Amino acid sequence: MNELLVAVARRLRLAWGVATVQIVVPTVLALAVVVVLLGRLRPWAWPEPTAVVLVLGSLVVIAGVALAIQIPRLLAARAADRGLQTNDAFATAVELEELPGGTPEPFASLVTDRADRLALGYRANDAVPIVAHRRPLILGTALAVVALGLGFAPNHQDEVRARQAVERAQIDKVADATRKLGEAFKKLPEKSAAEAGVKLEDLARELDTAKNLEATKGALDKAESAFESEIDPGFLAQKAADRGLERTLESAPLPGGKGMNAEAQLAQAAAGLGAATPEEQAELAARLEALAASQVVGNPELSAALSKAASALGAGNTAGAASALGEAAGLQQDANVSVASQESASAGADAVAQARSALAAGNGNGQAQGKGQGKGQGKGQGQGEGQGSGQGKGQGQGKGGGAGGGGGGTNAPGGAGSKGGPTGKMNGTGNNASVGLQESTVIYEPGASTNGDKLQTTGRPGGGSSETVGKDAGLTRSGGSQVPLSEVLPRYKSSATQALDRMSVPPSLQSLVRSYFDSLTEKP
Amino acid sequence: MTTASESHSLPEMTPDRYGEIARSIEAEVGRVIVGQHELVRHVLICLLSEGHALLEGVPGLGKTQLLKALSSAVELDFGRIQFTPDLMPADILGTQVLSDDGDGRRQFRFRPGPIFANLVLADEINRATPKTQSALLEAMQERTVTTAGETRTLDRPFFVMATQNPLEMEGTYPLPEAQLDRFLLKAVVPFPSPEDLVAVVERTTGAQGEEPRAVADGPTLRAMIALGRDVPIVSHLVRHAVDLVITSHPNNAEAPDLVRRYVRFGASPRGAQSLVLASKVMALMDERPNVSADDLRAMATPVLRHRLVFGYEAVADGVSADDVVAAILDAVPNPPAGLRGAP
Repeated sequence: MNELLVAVARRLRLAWGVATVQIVVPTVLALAVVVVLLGRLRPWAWPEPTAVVLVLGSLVVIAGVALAIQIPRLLAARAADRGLQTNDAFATAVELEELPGGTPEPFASLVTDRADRLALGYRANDAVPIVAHRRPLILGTALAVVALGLGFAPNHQDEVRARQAVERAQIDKVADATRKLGEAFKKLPEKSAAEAGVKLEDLARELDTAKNLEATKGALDKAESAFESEIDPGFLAQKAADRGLERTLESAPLPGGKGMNAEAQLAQAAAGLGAATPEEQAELAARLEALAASQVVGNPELSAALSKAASALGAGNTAGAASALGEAAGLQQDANVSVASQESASAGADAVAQARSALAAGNGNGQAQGKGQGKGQGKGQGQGEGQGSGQGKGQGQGKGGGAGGGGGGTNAPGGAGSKGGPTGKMNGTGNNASVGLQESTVIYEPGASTNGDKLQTTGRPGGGSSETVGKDAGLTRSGGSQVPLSEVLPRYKSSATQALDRMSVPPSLQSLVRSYFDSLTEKP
Repeated sequence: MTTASESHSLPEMTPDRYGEIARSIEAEVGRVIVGQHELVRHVLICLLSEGHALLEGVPGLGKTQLLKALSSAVELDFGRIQFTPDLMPADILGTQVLSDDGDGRRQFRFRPGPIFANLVLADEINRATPKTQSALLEAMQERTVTTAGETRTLDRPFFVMATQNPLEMEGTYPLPEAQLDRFLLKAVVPFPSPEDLVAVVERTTGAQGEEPRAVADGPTLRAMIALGRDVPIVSHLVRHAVDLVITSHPNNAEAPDLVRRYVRFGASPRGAQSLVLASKVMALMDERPNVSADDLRAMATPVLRHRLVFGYEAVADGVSADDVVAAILDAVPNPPAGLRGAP
């Protein structure tokens, strides 16, 4: 009997598992169908894996519980009695064995003997049949088929997910580049550069958590605005005056000031006035008048101080002249600090602007790639309209759209809108090669659009080409500002290089911005 | 697990011998009673449980003959009481009579009534007044008789088989619930099949028929009664018996609709006791050393049917006690092993 009961206990675990599966799995499968359906309604990445985990997880849990479940002997005996219809012989025998204080005779031995005799003729399989009920079986099978069908059928949300993945990669890349730039800024000796580095790192962290491209652009716009707010409208004039004074006094130092910067030379001149001869004083007054004239636009306060010093010298008031020169030295020191700070802010704003441009370029490519791959020829037609617009713009620019404009332009410049198929293929290749930086791909070019041209509001010169594109090619208004990357890449590089040269950014900062820009445009 | 034992100086009894004697008694009674196997079995179960049986059936179905045959087979005293409206308790229990002791002196002497027998047939018990019916209460429950302030113990085994005529209601006094509860079971005596009836007619209209042989006596029966109480019953079956009883109560949450609608009062705890006791005897008679769920369910109808108190709606709707017990059995299925997927 004992052997039979042990086997029955094992069999009961299996029966419990099968019975539980028949109850639980249809419910879980129904849930899985709902989850998979959600995956077709929203571009979430988790529905299909979650559905698989739900089903497999429930099976694993049931199997685990079935293995771990305790089957008392009495329960096995009762199951055997019912399954084998032995009139409760096994249960009575087991309970008599466990009866405290011994078992009453003669029934104890009679019951046990009878149970042992009955056990000889039966197997556990006879006692505990595994029952598969039709209804849950049919329901479970139907639900499984539906879930699998929904899981493997083409899902237009896959395109959205792919696009989001591309966007995420772009955002991550921009965030990573911004973080590295910020770290590099922090290593520079200038305090203002270090502060700009901290801001760039903060921006990188914000980009890490940005949910989508719009949020990323918003963060970039915000950061750029923050940098720009630190730049005075007369920054260029201030910088020109400051640098001009330095260069002038470097090439033609004031008496006794050779090798010194402007601030030190002015202080030295103030200190040496007492020993200067009238001729030297007259000559110095003339120099100071000339210097004052050069500072009128960029630094009026310094100009006034220099002029005041020149007048005092002319009147023989050396004490007054010395005081005015000391004031001028202080103002020049302030100007140096201010210009350096604004230079750092400008460099930060430039970096953010470049990051946003790169992000926009990648976004245009990502959209094209997603549609071309996901929907094949049918969607390619739809995409073809967008490409066609881009191509039209390319021709307006006169940059030979066929060379860099992607499929539409290469195959039929005049009918790009009907060439969705080739466009899709071309874009697919571009995406595999790199994220948004393939020269053969069509990209988003903010300078070509008719609104939101932040790059131009920063006051950076050379926006003519972008505006020309927008005005000449009417199609860009409806088709978006998508141009071949190869068209704008040289212009981006040129614009960045010119800006760096024009603004006299310190060499260390220039190399940083250049390397950053190169990292965004380099081919993988 | 419940067991009980009784130590008396009784002949040794084993389950095998128990079954053998029980079968012999059934066979001997069967020599007189044609068909009616279930009735004979139920009456024998009642006797071996030391309970009392209430038989319901139209006249002429052999109820008296059954008890006579039984008394012959077990070699016990047989007493018959024909209940009538003018029957008095003393007619049953006995009375004090003034008698001459031979010396010219007179004194009261107790003359035992027909209740002082081992097997008592209370024929048409519902024709007697409640007062007379209640005279049986002490005898049936306590197995003693008290008259004139003196209590006398009845011989064991003591078995009352009462009969009721279900057809005639006029001039009858339905048994009170307290008295009905004293009967271990109520057996319905069915009308015999045509084949059985032919056999009955042939057997009773010809020469003197066979008489049952005595195959047991009082001490043997007492030993069998004692052994029957020792039959083990597994605890979940005791619970099953209790569940059957408590489900007969209309205020029980598990009670079926039929119980809720028609039953005013369910079976008493004595019903559960009777159910288990009768099942133990049934198991032994089937040569099994333990009670099974099937024993309980087989005995549920005869044991519970007379313990249910119905409202007038049941009579109006023609709902019988057997219908209600069947509904209870449906509502309380054979107890499963208690694990999903197990049989």
